[in-house]
Amino acid sequence: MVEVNFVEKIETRPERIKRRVQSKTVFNGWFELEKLKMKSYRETLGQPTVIRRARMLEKMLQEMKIFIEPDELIVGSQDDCFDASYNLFAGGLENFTGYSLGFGDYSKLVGIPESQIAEVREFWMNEDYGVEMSQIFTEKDRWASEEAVWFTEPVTGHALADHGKVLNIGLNGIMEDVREKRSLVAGKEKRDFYDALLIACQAAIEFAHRFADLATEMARREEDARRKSELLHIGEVCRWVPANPARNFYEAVQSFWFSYVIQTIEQTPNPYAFSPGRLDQFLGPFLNKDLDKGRITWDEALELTQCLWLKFVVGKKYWAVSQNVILGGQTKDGRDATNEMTRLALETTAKMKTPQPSLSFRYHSGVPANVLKRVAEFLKLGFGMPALHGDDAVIKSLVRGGVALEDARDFGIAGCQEPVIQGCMNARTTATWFNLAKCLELSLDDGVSTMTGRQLGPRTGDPKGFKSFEDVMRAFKLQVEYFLDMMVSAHNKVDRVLAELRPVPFLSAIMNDCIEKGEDFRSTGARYNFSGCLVHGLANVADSLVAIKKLVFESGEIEMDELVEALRINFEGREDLRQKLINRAPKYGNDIDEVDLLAKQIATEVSDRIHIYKNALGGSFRAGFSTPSTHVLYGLRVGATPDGRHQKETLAFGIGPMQGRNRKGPTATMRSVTKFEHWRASHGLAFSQSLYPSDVEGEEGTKKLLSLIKTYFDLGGYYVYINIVNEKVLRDAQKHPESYRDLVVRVHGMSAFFVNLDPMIQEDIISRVANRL
Amino acid sequence: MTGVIFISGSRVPFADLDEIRLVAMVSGRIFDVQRFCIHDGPGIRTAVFLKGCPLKCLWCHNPEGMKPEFEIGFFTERCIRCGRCAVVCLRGAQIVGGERIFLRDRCENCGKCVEVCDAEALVLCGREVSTDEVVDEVEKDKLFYENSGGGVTLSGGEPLMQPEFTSEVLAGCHKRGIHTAIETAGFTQWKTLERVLPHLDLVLYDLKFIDSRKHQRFTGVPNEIILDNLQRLAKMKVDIILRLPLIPGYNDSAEDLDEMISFINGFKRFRNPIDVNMLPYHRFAEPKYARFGKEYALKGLLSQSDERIGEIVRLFRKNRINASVD
Repeated sequence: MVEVNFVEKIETRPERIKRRVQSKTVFNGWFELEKLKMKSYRETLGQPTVIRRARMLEKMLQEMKIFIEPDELIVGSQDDCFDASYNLFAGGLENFTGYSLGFGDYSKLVGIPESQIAEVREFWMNEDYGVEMSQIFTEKDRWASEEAVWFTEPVTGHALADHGKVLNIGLNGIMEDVREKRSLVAGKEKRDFYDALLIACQAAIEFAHRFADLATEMARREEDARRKSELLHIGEVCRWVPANPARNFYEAVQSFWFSYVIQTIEQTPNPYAFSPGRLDQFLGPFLNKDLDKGRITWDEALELTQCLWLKFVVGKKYWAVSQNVILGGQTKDGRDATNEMTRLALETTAKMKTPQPSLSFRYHSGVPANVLKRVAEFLKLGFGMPALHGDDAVIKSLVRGGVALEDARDFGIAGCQEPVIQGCMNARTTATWFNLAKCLELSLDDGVSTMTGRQLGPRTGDPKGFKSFEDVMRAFKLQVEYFLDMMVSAHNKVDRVLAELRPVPFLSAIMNDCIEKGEDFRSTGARYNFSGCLVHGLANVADSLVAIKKLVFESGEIEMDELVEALRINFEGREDLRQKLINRAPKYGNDIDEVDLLAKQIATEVSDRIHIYKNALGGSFRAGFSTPSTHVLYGLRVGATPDGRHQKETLAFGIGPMQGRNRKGPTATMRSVTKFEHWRASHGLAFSQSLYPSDVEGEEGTKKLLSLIKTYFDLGGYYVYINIVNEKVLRDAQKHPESYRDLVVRVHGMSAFFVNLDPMIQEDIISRVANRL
Repeated sequence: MTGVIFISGSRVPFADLDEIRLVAMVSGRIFDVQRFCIHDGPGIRTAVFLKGCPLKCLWCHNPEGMKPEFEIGFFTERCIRCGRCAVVCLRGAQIVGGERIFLRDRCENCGKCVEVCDAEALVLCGREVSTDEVVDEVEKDKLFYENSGGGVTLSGGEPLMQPEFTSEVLAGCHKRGIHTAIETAGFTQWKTLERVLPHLDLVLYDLKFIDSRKHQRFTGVPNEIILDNLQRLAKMKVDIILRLPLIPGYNDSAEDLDEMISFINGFKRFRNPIDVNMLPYHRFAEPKYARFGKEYALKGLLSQSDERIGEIVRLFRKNRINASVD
């Protein structure tokens, strides 16, 4: 295994910042921002929504507390942008009721009095957005969501802005563009829209100037000469960017950060998974120019990037901020896109060992061998980064979904695996979530939930009356279609409210096309509009159906009555039957066509069906097979299944096999999961492959790792992340978290400090590592 | 012409001479096929484990591969005590009462208990397979071999105990463009080795002792023929990697190692450099012995320290042998 020496005798600047950043665990700034937002909303009552949103951002940027911390070279923070309500991994999973609307009871968690939280909550619930949202769900919608058949949310964050535009023409340039367009429109609505953009951009410039003033003031009082000059420089930089085009790498980094952090503030308290995107592409030219002209040394650039990286770390809130930096890939005209910034970014993460930003790498056959080798060595450090995306599958999938080829080549990742075109796409990546395993459960009990006894789904027949396997499939498909219809209709209502009442003027300004069209990003401003559907439980359904086919209808070893009864009682006293289901029917993930092709058929049919639906703004739905730890959560809502899974047990992760059911190693698993053509899942898919450190030891091991990766993509692979870690190490980390504070593992679309994870998620990771999955 | 022939003890009817060849050549006994093997030759490989071995090395890490006959393995931890094995076993070898006992001396390996054991606590180790079946299975990972410089490795047991089968499988793999290797102890007639050579790209050749008495004592057979075969093999056009299991206290003394080094250097004129793969002793196989009702002779034996392994590797390298640890 490659060792990187992280211990240095004298703590460097980034290390000092890292220590400070990691010691910060409570973030209550979001609550102060809520108060500012409420204040602004009261002041702007009666004004057009888009103006109110711009004023609200302006208020926050004018009045929020700002700091320049010791040692910092890049200023501005997103620490105050996230609340604690996205409680996906925050424990208490049994109480999971979704995570869409506003605030829950987190007072204990964050130490804010309950009454104050209640006040904020009430304000927003009584405001038009809260009122309209709360009226959307019918009782049946609510039941279905509670039992995790499907889920929908108003998608915030999850976008890749065109930060390059800010670096290259500055916010002044953008405002010029806006003014010009405004002068050409007549309607008040359009003019309001453009005015809102101007308010937002101006507020952003003034926000940077607040930092310039602060830095200058701090410099005046600073006694250390070196720091004094650094502060003066920060002052000059913030005076110049993001208003004007960046003139060097330092300014480019700072300008990007303002652009990034202001879009985040605009969407507080839930700007989840905003991602920088193709950072090596938009920062690369600035770095190259400075390096070429000798204006910056490699080490100076590295230090700046390290400082930038630490800006992405927000305490334990790894869950909220899957901030994806994607490297490599191709240029818009199809050439290899790796550059010096690619190398610098990899080196930065190797040095800093921070889980954020989450690194991804776009693999294609033209990536230079030395870059690939670096990526492989990097993977061997064991923290699951970078995640790998196959350009061939992703680009094909985007093009087939209606994205122009040169745009498709410019894809990045928002959050985890979902492909988004930089600056051009509202992908609504987490719009909908769908649980195939629950649908299967319902189809085996005439639409009744085993978990609650409710008639959740349509009556698709008593399974005892099923005469053939086709009858089972028919019932299953009816359940799937019924709930997909229901889910889409609910989502479209949610999305319409979001688009109408939550415009995002700043984001619209730094995106492409919105200015041209005079439409907000949340409406139809973006060049491409999609809604994502994350499909859960594929492996469980394939394994279950093949077991029914083989053991009930082919060999007759099991009676349908007997099976249904055993499922209802969660295999209590029927371990023999459960073992038969597990061992006497083939399992997905072992390169066995009988079951793999069934999985492929289901994945294809479900994807095709999802792609037919249209969202509220006329865009298509896109199917994805990613389960950002939600396979654990959704499993809690699903009764026992005929693959031998107990009730409440986790579902399979992403497109992968069920944990523990793959027994033939990585090559067989990779072949199994690629029988379904990945490009069909245009919303991306997740696949994890754990390897033991001994699998990839030494130079030879690096080669083997690369050939494994190459083959996976040759097979049509879309995405894979590789955890190279020992089960033993993870177990030890559970026992002695204090010794493993720095242990970073891949969770799904992102990496996280292992010891900060919820125990259930830890177990899920360990089980996948132990099963080399 | 029609008649019957016997293969591995079973009567097989045949219709004509071609079919004899077909039937006689395609069948072999294996006990496992493992994909993604990365320590059995270069690249990513599939290893096919053939059942039966003429040696009885005390440290054998595949004890289930020793006997040519099928054997029943018992995984106690998987047993759910459903009792079905006890019902079907006519010889009363399976006892599922207060205690769960498998009386091996009563067992005739009929396999009835395995058939009813849905929990896979009882498993049959060994199956008769055709060469095509094996080659088809191996071919599945062809793309991985191509991208990694890998291929197939026939291991065991001892692949040369089933020379026809081994030769056919290797030939079949070659025909499909797959790199071939065997892992052998070399205890066989030269003509057997010679027979598989045309289909072989690489031999992983085990060397345990140079001293034949020690070899006899700890592996059950003398080693003259092994060393002789290796010397002959060194002159042939095939890649060779020597594999040295390092068993603490058995073959890792200074004297043992010196003998080993001078033997290896003895055929340097035929090939140079000579690749040697050290296989440090580990105890991972120990639980397998119990599963197959066997005694583990090296109970309690500890592995060498990493430092000691490093020393040994350096010693070989000092003698200009290209040694590495696997």
